[in-house]
Amino acid sequence: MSRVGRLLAYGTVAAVLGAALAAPVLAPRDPNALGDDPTRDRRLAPSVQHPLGTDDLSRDVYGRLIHGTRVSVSIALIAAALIVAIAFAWGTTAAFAPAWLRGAMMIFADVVYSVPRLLVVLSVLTFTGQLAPATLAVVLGLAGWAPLSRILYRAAVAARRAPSTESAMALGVGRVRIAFSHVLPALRPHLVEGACMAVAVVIPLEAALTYFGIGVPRPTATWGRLLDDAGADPLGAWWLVVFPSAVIAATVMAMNYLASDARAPRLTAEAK
Amino acid sequence: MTSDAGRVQLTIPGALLAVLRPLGRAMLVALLVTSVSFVGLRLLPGDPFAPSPDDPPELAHARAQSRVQFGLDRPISVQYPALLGALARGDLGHSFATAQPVSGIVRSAITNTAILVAPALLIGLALGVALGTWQGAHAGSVRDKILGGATFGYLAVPEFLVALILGGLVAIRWKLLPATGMVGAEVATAPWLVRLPSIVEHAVLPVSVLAMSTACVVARHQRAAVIAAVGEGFVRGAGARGVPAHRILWVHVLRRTAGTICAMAGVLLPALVGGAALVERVFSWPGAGSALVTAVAARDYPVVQALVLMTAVAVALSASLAEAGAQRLAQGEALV
Amino acid sequence: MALLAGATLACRADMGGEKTVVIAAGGDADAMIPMVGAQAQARAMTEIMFEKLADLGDSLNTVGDYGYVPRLATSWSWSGDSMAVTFALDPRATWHDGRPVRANDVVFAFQLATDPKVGAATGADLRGVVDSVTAPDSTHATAWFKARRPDQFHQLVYNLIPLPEHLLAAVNRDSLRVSSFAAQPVGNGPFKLAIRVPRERTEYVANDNFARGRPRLDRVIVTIHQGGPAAARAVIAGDADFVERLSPDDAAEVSKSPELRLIPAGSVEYGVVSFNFKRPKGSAPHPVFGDLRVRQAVTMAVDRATLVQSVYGSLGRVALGPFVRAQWSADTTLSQLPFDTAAAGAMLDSAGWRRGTGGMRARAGAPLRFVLAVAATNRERPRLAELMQQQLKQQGVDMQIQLLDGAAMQARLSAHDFDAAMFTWRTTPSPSGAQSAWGTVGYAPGSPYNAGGYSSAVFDANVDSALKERDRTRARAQFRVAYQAAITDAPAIWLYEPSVVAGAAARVSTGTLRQDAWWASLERWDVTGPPRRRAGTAPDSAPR
Repeated sequence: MSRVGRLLAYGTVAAVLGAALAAPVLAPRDPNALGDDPTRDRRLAPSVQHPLGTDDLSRDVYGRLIHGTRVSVSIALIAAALIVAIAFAWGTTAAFAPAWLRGAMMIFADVVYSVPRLLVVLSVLTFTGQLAPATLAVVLGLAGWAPLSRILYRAAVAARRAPSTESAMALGVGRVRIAFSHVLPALRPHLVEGACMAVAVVIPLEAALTYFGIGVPRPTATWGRLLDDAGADPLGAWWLVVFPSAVIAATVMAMNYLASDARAPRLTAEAK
Repeated sequence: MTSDAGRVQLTIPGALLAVLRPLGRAMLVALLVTSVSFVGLRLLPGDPFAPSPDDPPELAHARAQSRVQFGLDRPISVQYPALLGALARGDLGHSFATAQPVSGIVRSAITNTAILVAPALLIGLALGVALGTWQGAHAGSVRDKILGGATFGYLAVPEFLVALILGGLVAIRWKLLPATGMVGAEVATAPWLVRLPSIVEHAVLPVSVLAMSTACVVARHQRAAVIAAVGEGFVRGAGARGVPAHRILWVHVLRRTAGTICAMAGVLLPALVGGAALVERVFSWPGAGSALVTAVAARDYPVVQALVLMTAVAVALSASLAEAGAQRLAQGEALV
Repeated sequence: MALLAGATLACRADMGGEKTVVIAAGGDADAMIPMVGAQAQARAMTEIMFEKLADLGDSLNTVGDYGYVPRLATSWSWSGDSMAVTFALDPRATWHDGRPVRANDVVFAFQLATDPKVGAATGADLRGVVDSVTAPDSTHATAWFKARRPDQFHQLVYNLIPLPEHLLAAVNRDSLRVSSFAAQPVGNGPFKLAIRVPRERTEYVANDNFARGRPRLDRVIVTIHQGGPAAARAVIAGDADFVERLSPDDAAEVSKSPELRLIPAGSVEYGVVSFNFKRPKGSAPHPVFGDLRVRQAVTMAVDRATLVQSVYGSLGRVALGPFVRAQWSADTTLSQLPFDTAAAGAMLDSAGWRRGTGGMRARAGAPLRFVLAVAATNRERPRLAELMQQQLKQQGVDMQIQLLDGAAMQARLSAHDFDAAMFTWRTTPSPSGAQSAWGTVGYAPGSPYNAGGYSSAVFDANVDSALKERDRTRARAQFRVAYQAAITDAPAIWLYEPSVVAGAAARVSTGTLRQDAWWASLERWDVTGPPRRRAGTAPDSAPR
């Protein structure tokens, strides 16, 4: 975990979050607005006027990418928050539950995990038709908590069995209090890792679903929508594919990096 | 047989458990998925036999006829027990859309997906283990860093995009390999010996896409596992005993990590089947993912239900078996 | 390796010299018995192996029997009062199992198609026109009409396809679709079914005993893909030889390749944005579209030419009204609502929808807003909708887009649950479809026809009398009045009429494709070049 790597990762995250927050300032024009002459201005290569070119419908790709960042990042953050929250609640509850319930809860998590997530989301979305970004985020969150809940469960069990926790329990400290004072700190690295991984998984998933016409409805710009707007031939107009894919790849790489960073905190401490 | 009676009796409970646990889990998955998909499907807007404005006008009332034929006019309280009963008998019904038996559709769809997923998993695991082991042994070298960067970067690109670009270049632009389907149309009904090269040719691109991401994930884990194992005493001990370094790496360390690798196959499988659904779509591969999308669009209830059900059960079963295998390997390791 | 090489050799011997065409289709037929299947694809895939009595000519005339070409019937003669027509069957015609085709088969097919148990797609049209079919002798069949109608001959021969009585008489009609005949149908056409794997592939081979001469192709294989774009991709990649329809993007791709060519195929479909006259699911007037001025203003605020040009390029034209240019009743001289933003703005103002803050219009505090439901079964309609949304926004109209898949769209239309809906009407060569699509008779609960509830006495009366009129000039004049009413009343924006182009490998010669049925000329298709690359044969085995 080099310093340069971490700098790059944090830089990417800062840039993406900054773009998401400051979208109206960075690209004041309506991202769905057409060019002056939609027939003439379509599929223009990058130029001074359109730094990232225009799409099939003569819209400015730069503006759509900036505003798309806002939607895609929001979806990823909501879904990740949901994944972490459910996994945390499920994992810690199971860790502190009586043995029979603990087993049942973990088997349920296993069952949820073993149904391919994409298949579930795919069928749900094709059934319901397209969903608003927030609803899509919720569906993605509900479908993705199972693996993290198992990790958190194991960590929580370990934390519960730690001598300091057992002595606190012996002293009669309340369960909720123990959860927050003893278990939560032990889970923190796992939570950070889980959150970063969740973002790294949800972003390509949203892109794929939207690309296949079952994600976020038109005309809302998202990273997946931009790829979809590139048309059936991904090699036709390179600027329609390269820019959104580069942003997706950079973000996912940064999140994966931060996840592995969180996974090995001791190692990085040594490196310093 | 008789002379070995004692040993056999000892192993039966373990073996039974190893078979029963995955089976139990698969049945749980089955019940859950059936109920959820049944309710979900009926709550949706849309009707498989509603007349379509895209159809020629004269076709409208044929659909109404079909509605009665398939029993969709009966109440849900009658339909659900009927469905469970039929499932228990192994009867998956007939497709609304093509009137074909669902079992046949599902069988061929899942077989076709397995044709992609199984080689992708094996190749991915083999490639990933080889890469990861080599990287672990040369941790910190320039080549390790380059490989690490490559796997890291590859995993960040959405799989469907890789499939699209690879297909666009290799199949459509350069016409080196087929872009669609599973077998050349002309040889599709030929004897399997003739068909096989065509299937292999069609599978190269989708399998490569799936295998590459699997390999990247496995390589990263394997690298870490090898670094950890190399630090352990037995490797140093073996080194001290004069066992050659490559032998230590490829025999001792690999055996050490075998359990993890096997468990990993189970963990990777659901994601791989999910990824296959998207890759199938890009390459028009007639697998479970493609069949699901087609059936959902047509509101073909029995097919959707059976596909989700059988895929989930197949994945759960394979994953449990991989897990059981991993436990076996771990036990073996502990015994050694 | 040795095994693979052996396989290639065996394959070469098998395939050498055969003329095979691979057709990529976007979906499979839902039933392989003529008249029974409910999908458009079923028509194509069954009519390849079943003959009609007579077929439409390339002129697509549907009045009288002008232009019809003999098929199973070598000739036909009318009774004096035009209430009956007798077909003389080709005595050489046989079923694929060798039995001769006889007049009983025509009688039987009519009984089967009109049996409510079967639920044949064409049954209603046949029942509406034809009273009965009889067989005076074994090679003559007579159809007795219920009433004289200009398109009675068309409705009869277009919808009645003779079936083999000796194979189907004993089949239970409740379960016809799942019968063994449906799995392996026996026809009488130029091609016979060889192997069928539902949802994957259907193979036909030439019928050596075809009465009108053996077709030039030896084998036709229809491969099934997921939707039109995937089928087009197969042709572009060289995995198949023919696809009936290309999107504008794919057409551009095909035109660049020397191994492929475009074939103009015409079309009998038109795209509309249908307005709902009533509140969704209700009967009170729609708050926005109940007002004629608003419908006209919205129509005039949309630059249809730019929309169609942007999305379809040269492969689409602005639609003219509730008809397509290929129908004989078409009229290109009707007066259209012009693209005129100033006039549109003034009309919206006068209807009480005035611009407020932000430039968006409102009336009594209610914003001028509606949801456009879009049938998102192709890539073009969503793009049209997005362009339209932006153009309307400039006029202060807030249009939201809702994309629906095919089934959801049908449900919404049938429930009359929409503000406005964008979809494509696929009609037939006969202009009669306009009556149910836009006439008062079409509007009914649970029916997707005329889902917006347009009701015009002028339109209804003129379409009705035009459909009864036997003189084409007078009928044209009546259609003209009806069409003009449908333009002025603006029950819909008559948006686009796609010019369908098919894509084919250069080595396949297809001749002209009939506008409503590309497969009609399949028996005359030929293969002139070497086999497809990767067709299972090595390139050097090509005939030189």
